[in-house]
Amino acid sequence: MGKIIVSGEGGQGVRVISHTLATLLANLGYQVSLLYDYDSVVRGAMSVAHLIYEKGAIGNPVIGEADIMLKLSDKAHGLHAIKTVCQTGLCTEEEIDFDELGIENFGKEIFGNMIALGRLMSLAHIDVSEKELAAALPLKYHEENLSAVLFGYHLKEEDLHRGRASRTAQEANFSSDKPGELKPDA
Amino acid sequence: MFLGAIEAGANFFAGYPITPSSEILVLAAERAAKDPSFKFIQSEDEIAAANAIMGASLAGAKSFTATAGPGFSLMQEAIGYGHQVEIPTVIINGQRVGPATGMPTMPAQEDILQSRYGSSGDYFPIVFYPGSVAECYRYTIISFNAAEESLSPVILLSDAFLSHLNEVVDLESIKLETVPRTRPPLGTGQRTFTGLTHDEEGRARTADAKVHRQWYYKTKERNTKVAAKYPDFELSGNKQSDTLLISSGIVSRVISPLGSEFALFRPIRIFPMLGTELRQIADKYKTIAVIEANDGQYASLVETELHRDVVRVPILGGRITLELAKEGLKQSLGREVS
Amino acid sequence: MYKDLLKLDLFPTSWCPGCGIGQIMIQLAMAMDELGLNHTNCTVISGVGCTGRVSGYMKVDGVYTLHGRTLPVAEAIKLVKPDLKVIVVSGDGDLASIGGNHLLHAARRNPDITVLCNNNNVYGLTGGQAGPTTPRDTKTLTTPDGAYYDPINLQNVMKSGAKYFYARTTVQHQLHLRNCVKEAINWPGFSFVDIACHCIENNGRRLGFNSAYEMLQHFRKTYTRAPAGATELGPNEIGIIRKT
Repeated sequence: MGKIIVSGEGGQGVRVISHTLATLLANLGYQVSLLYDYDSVVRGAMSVAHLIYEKGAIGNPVIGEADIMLKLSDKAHGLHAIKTVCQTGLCTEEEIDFDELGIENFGKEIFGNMIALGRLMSLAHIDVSEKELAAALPLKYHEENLSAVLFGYHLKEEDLHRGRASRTAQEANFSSDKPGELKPDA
Repeated sequence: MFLGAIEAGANFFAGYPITPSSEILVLAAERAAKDPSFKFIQSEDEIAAANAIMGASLAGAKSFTATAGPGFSLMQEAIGYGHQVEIPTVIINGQRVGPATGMPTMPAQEDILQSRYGSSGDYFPIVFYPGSVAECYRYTIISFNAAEESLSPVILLSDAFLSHLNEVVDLESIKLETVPRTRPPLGTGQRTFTGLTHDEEGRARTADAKVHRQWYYKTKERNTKVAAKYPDFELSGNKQSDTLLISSGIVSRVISPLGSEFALFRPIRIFPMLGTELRQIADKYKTIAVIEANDGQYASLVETELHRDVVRVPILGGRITLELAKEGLKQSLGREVS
Repeated sequence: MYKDLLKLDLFPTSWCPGCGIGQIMIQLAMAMDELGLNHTNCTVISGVGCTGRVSGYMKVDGVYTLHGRTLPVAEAIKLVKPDLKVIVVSGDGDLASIGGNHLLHAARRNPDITVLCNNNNVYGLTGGQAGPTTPRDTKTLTTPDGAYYDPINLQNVMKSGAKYFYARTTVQHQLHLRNCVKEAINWPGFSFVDIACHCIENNGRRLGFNSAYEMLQHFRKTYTRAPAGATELGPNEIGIIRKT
């Protein structure tokens, strides 16, 4: 039983994350409602998913206060959650640089959204077998996505900080007095 | 909704891309690519689409289209044509904030009156507005049936949130009989189907008031009879409450938690108005409040049916939340809402 | 014979004495008769305007559509019943002004329907307002100083499609008109017959003609046959151009 909000911008995979999770939960036998609330722009504007799962029928599909919110960008307002996990720089609770982890471990920033899904599942205590997870994922990039979700699910304390640290190191590379000049690795 | 249409025997779709109904257009195209008995046209505009479904229906197909607010406005003339010529077809309208292009992805209920009075002239349409994904399936089938029985274009309303809602549905458990086409298609007789006022033989009678009156009262009576087969609504009574909240579609879902404090009425058949049912139910309540995502369109009609004042709680701008509904209720009722 | 295709019990028709639409309808009926078309294999779709009345006088299932919407209706009917011959009979305003967008896309999509366009250069039924095919400088109700714009070039609109069949004829050239209609019906694709026609009451008299007969003679004098094998019809040339 839970209420999850995924908030991001068009192109970050809000739909893929939430639809995968919804399918997973439906396959487990829950009643699920998944509502998309998004702006009329293909990229860069607000895209939010309200996901509710219960044993019985669901009344109001619009979430007032979520149990957990995954925040991938800052485009939506007025969303509330008891716990928030977000992309770096967007909140003070739990920040994970999903983009960076995506690049580091899977070669593309976009895999960060599957890592985020894994983290979300871990925080929501949604335990499933690999087979159940595989059945809910989209067919495209199936293997990479599966690995990414599992990676996110098993993220430990030290991993959570690693992303931030490596990003800070990168920032240090660019902080030179001559704009455009790159300092060698510290 | 698309699956409901197929279940009802739909085999023709013409449409134009428009949020939040483009998904239905795409599903229809994909179906046509696999099934040669299902015909599909992506029309050059909504006017063409609305006229195409009229022609297709006359040719014998169970036709439908899907659009949203501004597209619905473009289709109005054709809807009137469908009533004048007595053509069974279904038009899905996903309501969004308007007017004009407005907020394409944001839910609203601003086309309630348009679905009743949008076309020129007098006509008596049947309009449904489901409140869940399961009801979307069910009422699509019912809309096709009502269309065949009334020989008129039935409007199936939705809204941008309902159209973006995914729910777990057991389609197998929703079983309804489908009404078959009765009128022989084009190419079998020597009939005239005309948008001009006409007699039973289809001859234009553009200077005969009696002919118009006969046609109008005949179709009004027929549509009333057909609609009476579907007096659908949902009532969750509340003995502790002296206030009845009326809402439909996504708004009724969002305010459903208020059922612990208020009595809730949800019309599913929007037109003809559920006058008899409303009068019977409303009698018990001191206050009637209509919560809707528009500026009092359904409320004004409820007042006419009940001959009493009705509290209006408009939720405008596409943000439909329980909090906003509670705030609006608090303001309008002048008391706290838990 | 062709009279069996007409609802003679509804005659006299609602058209003015001398109107050319009657001739279009007769030639259509003759063409249908020669091709073996009747109510079991043919339907006539007409628009709004004087021309729109044609389908009501013919012994086939017919549809009067909304103004300008014959083409979407006809195309949908053909899609649902491909074995039915679908013939559209409408006017220049209905097809090229309010129906212009649909004409463009019908030419592009190339459905197997036939369009007979009663091209009389005005909106006749409503009194004689200028239309999309009114020649420049013509006096009409809405252009008392003469029409301001050049008319739409229907031949070019048809030629914009990858395949086309465009026939131009006049109500005076009866046999040519009938042959154009027959060939158009037999054409496997979108066929358009542009029929120069006269509207004596709401156009001709304003232009100085005293009778329908004078207008017909005018057609006889001003229209010439295009040379055989022409791929484009010159102004005031009657003939057929095709592209497969």
